[in-house]
Amino acid sequence: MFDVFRAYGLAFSITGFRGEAEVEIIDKHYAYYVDIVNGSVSDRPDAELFADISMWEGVFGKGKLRKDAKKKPTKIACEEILNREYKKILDLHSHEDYVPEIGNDHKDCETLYQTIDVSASKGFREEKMGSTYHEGSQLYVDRYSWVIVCIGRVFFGTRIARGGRKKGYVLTVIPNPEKVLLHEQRQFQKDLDLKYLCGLSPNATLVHYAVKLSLLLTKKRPTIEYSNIVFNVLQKTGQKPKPSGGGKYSLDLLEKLSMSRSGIEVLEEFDKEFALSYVKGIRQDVASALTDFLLRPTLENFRTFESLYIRGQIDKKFYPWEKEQLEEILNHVEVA
Amino acid sequence: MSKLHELFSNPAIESFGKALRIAVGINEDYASLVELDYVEKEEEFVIALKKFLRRLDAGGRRYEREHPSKFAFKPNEKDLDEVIKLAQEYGVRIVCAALMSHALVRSEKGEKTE
Repeated sequence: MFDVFRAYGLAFSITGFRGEAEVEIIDKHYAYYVDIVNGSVSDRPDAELFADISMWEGVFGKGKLRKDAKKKPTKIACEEILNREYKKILDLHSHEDYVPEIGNDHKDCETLYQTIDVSASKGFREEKMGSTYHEGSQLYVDRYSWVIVCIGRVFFGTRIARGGRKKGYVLTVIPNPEKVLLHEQRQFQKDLDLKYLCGLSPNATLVHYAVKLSLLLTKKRPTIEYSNIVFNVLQKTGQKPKPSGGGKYSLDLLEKLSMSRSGIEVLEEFDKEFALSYVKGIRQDVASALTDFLLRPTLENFRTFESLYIRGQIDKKFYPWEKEQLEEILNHVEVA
Repeated sequence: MSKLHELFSNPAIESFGKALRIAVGINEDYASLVELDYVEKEEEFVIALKKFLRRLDAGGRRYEREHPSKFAFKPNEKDLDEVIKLAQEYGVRIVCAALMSHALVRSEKGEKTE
């Protein structure tokens, strides 16, 4: 997730809101390639990046500016570093062999937050040894990478919180750019309707998000191509949220479905099932089974979904499938 | 094309699937649905199929009595042989999944008769 945010952040710090340069992000699998397709790179960053305080506060909190504070609030620190070191940041990232410095050494480095990547959480990486309590160590990253990763997180990460204050979870998602024009990506984010996202479990939310994304992608190809969704989950505990998992969810299955008319209808139907999963009973059971099936389209998961759906159909809760639509689903069931 | 889709399009499975759709949707034969959902062995599958056909026959006779000019749908013997053969070849679980998938599909107009 750190690298994806870096790619988006670097691209956005080049274009800013002004959009003088048209930038494309390509996933080369060993690295992200940020290419300037059109226009030229400005010699100073766009001040608008830091104009909307609420966007920054929404991600990193308010952070009081005290005289005796050791560190400045994230937004202010980012603004200062970007204005001061803009040319160096661009210069460093123009080298293909540039690798960010990550480690426990905090000289000239900044803290990598849990909000950016769950693997940066304290006590997540070290082995627990003996009976002595140790809360774990902080992870630091060089300030050049830190600035762009923060920009990427603020403007391109999507935070979805579900459940209560104590039992809920926070899911952070970002689509992995296979090939994306940055200004198209910004528009795509605005167009993506995240209302009524399923809140049954982090997996269900993730899959529902992926379904909505795939539906919108059918209208946006070929300027936007995603290969998967990178996600992090934080579990709320009543105190600070704790890391609960993360990974990549491949969009292969949903992409294959979205290739045909009946496949798109299937996705629209899935979207409805998820959106109505706030109704307790069979609807929630079907949404859970559908989540499992879309995560792993095995015969067993399909049978669970099928069996529950028929029961819902008998109770007049669901409509029957059109034959072409069901065939489209069956086509992607993996049989061992 | 996946194996399940291949089976779903097989004429014998289509015929039995249509019968199951009628049984569940019109005759309210949920017992057959549950039995087919839980079978794992070939012997269990044969027994479940036998019970299902008996219930379908009873439902069909009732239908014909209520609608004297119409005939209820019944899968033929050739289809039965083919379904058993497919279960031996592909396994019971996948054949049952294909059969039950037909129960999810919207019925054709006037499906009760043939």
